[in-house]
Formats: sequence, C-alpha cells, structure tokens
Amino acid sequence: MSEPMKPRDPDWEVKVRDSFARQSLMQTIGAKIAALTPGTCEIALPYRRDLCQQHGFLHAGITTTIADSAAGYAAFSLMPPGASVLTVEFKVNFMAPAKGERFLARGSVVRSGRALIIVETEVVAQDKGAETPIAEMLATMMCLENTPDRPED
Amino acid sequence: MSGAVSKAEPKPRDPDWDAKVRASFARQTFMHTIGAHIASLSPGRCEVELPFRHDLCQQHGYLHGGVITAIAANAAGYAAFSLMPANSSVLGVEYKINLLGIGEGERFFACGSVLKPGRTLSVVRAEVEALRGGVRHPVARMLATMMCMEGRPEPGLEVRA
Repeated sequence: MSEPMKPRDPDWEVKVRDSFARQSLMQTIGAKIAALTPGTCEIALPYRRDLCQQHGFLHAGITTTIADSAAGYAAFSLMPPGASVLTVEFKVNFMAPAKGERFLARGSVVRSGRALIIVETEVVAQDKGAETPIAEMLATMMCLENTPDRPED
Repeated sequence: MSGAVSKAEPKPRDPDWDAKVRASFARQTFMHTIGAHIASLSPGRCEVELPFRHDLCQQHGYLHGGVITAIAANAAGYAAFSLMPANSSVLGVEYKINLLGIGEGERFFACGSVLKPGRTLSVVRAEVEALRGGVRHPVARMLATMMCMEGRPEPGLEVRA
C-alpha cells in the first residue's frame, strides 16, 4: 500500500466511526468497519441468507452498499472538521458471483480535492481462506463544508 | 401503465414472462428484508416500490444510497428479464448511478425500462423518485448493463420444450 494520506481533522477516526455508527442500514445488515486509516476504509460483512438475490448469493445492491460506505468513509476521513460527505455518483462492475462466508469492501482515496474526492473500492468474497474479487467501484464523493454530519434537529 | 402507451411495447419472448419475473423477485430475500415489492410490470418495464424505513438509513437519517441503488438495480434487472427467453437467467454486469437528490420521502419508486434488449446484453435505464408530500422528486438515475444467461434457467423456473 502507498504512503498514508494526511488527515485535515485531528479527530478523523472518532468522526468516521461515529458517523458509521449512525448509519442504521449498516446495523440492519450487520456490517462493521474492519480497518481504517486516513484515506482508506475497509468494511466487513458476514454472509446472511436474508440479504440475497434469487440464486442465494449476496444481492448486488448489498455489495454496492458496503462499497459505497467504504468509499464514503475513506473520503470522509480526509475531510476538514465540520464537513459532511455525500455520494455524487459511482460506477460498479460485477466480476464474479458474490459467493462466500464474508465480504470485504476496501475503499481507498485516489484523489482528494477540496470539493470532490475520487475513491476506488474493491469488494472481495472470502471463502475457506481464499479471496475472490467480486466487484470494483469508482466513486465521486463530495465534501460539504460547514455542514454537520448528523440529522437536522 | 401497461397497454395505453404511445411507444410500441417490446414483445416478450417468453409467454410466461410475468409469472417468471414475479417468481424470481419473490426469491430475492433482500427485497423481503427491506420491504420492497413490484408496483407495476409490463414487457421491458418494471417498477419497484419501497416504503421509507428508519433502519435503512445513512448518517443523516435519509434512505441509504445503497438501498436506492439496490431498488434501481432490481427494477433494471427485472425490466431486462421480462424480455428474456424461457430457460434463461439474468445477471448484472455493471451500472453507473448518479444521485440527484436526497433519499427523503414517505416512499420510493424505482422504474426500470429497457433501452436495448440484446441477445446477450441489454441496456437498461432506471429512475428513482421519492414521494414527498404528494409530489414525486427525482432521487437517482442509473444506466445498467444486464446479461442474459441462455440455457441457464433459475431453479424452479425451468420450462420443458
């Protein structure tokens, strides 16, 4: 892996974990942050039968969901204090069926701009100790400065 | 929506297209988990409806982009599947989605419509709208490529010649 990027917020780690914890969908599906550094975020999701498509594999929407959150939090880790993160767009290619015991979405920032952050996420399936790449995402995240990362009261 | 449209409706290649699509959708456990269902279906077009739920949100309390994408992908996939021949199955190859507005609303509608039904690859567009205060607001727009796996029916959907 390349050199770690420099966070602009000394509280970047607490901020990211706190925001992730507020994503109710992540609790609903059982996803967790497995690794976090400035500019990278890895999300782990154990396989569950209630998150499947018609063939019993993980639904592509779930693969995309963890890829999107990994990308978003990789970007958010580099944002200044008081900012929040927003997904602008992404493209995903599906390379293999999402078949496995556990899935990992590894997001890493490719370019961190002031307003736009480009992030790449690789999703792999782990099965009996082996890892297979199942999807690749390229995403554009937006930094909303002076916008709190919590619901409005 | 079926029937009275200006453009000619694409012709399904499987007489059982409607039952086939609904049976496949019903086997997607994830759709049950989030509470999504097919709101309308015609050859080459599928609309998926999802009522808002607090346990499907991102950090601001709006519908998570992953769920928005999931219903868009399903609407696209089943729009394509409706035009595929018997004894085939559908596979998502890739998609691109732009998020146009926040996932705020009482319910969400994802409408997929086939732009080009190919023998192997189908190009499908999907639009997601949020119903908020009686008005539909644009939420997302997707362009997807779906693959037809001929001769590989879903289990339980095999048709003998």
